[in-house]
Amino acid sequence: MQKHTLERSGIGLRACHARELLTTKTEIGFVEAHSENYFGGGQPRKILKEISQIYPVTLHGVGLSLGRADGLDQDHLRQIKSLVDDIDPVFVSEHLSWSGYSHIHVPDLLPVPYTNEALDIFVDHVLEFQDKIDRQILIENPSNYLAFANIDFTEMDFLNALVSRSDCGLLLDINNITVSAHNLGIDAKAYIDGIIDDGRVKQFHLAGYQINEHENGEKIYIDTHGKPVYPEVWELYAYALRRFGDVPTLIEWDTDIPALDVLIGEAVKADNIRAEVKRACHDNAA
Amino acid sequence: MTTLHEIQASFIHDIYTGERTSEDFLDPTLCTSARLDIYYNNTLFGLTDILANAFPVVQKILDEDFFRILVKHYIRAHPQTLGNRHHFGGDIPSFLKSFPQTQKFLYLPDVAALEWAHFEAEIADDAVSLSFKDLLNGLSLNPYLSLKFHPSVHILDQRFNALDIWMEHQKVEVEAIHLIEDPHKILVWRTQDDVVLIRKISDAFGILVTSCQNGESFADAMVKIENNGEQIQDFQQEFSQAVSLGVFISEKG
Repeated sequence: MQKHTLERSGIGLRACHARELLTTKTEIGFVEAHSENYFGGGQPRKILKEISQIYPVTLHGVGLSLGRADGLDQDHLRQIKSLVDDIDPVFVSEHLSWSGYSHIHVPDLLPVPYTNEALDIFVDHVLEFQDKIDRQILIENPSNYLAFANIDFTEMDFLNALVSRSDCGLLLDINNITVSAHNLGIDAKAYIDGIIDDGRVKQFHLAGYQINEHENGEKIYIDTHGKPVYPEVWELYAYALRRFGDVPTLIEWDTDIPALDVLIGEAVKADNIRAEVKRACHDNAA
Repeated sequence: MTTLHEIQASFIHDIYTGERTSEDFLDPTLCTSARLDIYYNNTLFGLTDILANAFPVVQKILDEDFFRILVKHYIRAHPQTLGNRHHFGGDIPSFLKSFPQTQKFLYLPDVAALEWAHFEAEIADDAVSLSFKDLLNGLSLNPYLSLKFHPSVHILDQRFNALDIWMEHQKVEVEAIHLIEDPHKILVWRTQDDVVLIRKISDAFGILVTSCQNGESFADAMVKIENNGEQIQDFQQEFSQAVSLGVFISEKG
């Protein structure tokens, strides 16, 4: 019987931790794999399959480019479907972003202008994706470094409309909200309040950021996934838990990757906050 | 009203050229140029990382700083074309031939081709290998059976002894290698145990490979090998080793 459940927080799967995860007992709830790292076959795919026998796995895509104006890459979709069929993940998620247009790609998540046109395209692509893999997907809010001039929606309203029209779920990245709030001068708690609370938020992401100071003295927060979760992110996480209830939570750490114990330690911290918020909500209800 | 097509075309252009045409679409109250740099830098960093993973020996030979310069030029000439990052970098061997500062490293395109084949073989699709039993059964049912390669198989035409150079660079302390010009073919593939193997192949095996690639039957390939006056005994040993190490796949696979 599998003892790991989504009631305990998970960690992002990194190749350097894979063997250790297979051979040692850990206290994590689940692992999240970047879908594109497991396209094709060979050792990486086999290891992911082995891991999926022990831990619940979520698949998190970074390259499908759902926000692209010129149609989804059908081969990319086919590869994700093959992986989903193989691994049977708990959740499949992608980003509110785009990364390719007209046969040119970038290994980054580019911002979507929140217009009616972009919403129509995004809804169509999410429906196509869900139809292809025959399950609901989750869409993650981005880290924003800039904003578009002529838009029809706030990001929260864009996400709310997307969920209503495509019946996808949401993956709220609390670190991304913090980063965007700093970079665009918005209120992080107001962002969370702006997301409709009707069970659509299915997962949280937590991570560390980095602050870059530019020549003009402007400080830009960068979503590097290379540091421990910052106190203000933990605080916002607790706020989000109070609004949306207990939601499966994942620690992301993709650069300057520490020892597995450090990642597990962050997941345990998240568990403690979840327990604390649960207790407080229970006490208030009583 | 600017369309999403226009915005995305402009953004992609800026990221790959360092220009700032997309500033027109952005909120002017934010310092847009510095913020666009974030995407430019992320792309440069991300693609450099992908290439460094795929070409560790090329990077070691050129040294890290020069490799980064090379990558910057490569990215402009050959942008990433697919969201699947595993496909990015296949043009590096030919780029090394044409890039002025690497032209003097005559053997480098061969080393890069070897690294690319190794990288691709590691993550190629899985397939069921052809066993001797399958082969014999197949030939008894169809004497004109064609052999199919495992998806991980790459056959390379090498001009220099790049395999020696590549092997030496797997060591921490690299010793000088005598460069030999010796045109030959190399086979790179992944076994059923997920080990990537690299073998120099004989002319006879090369004929089999070409025949297979042209969709010709195994029987026709054997006739060609014999007509070419190749040593059939050596070929038999090489072929049986290739079958047992999963170079060919079963029709079922």
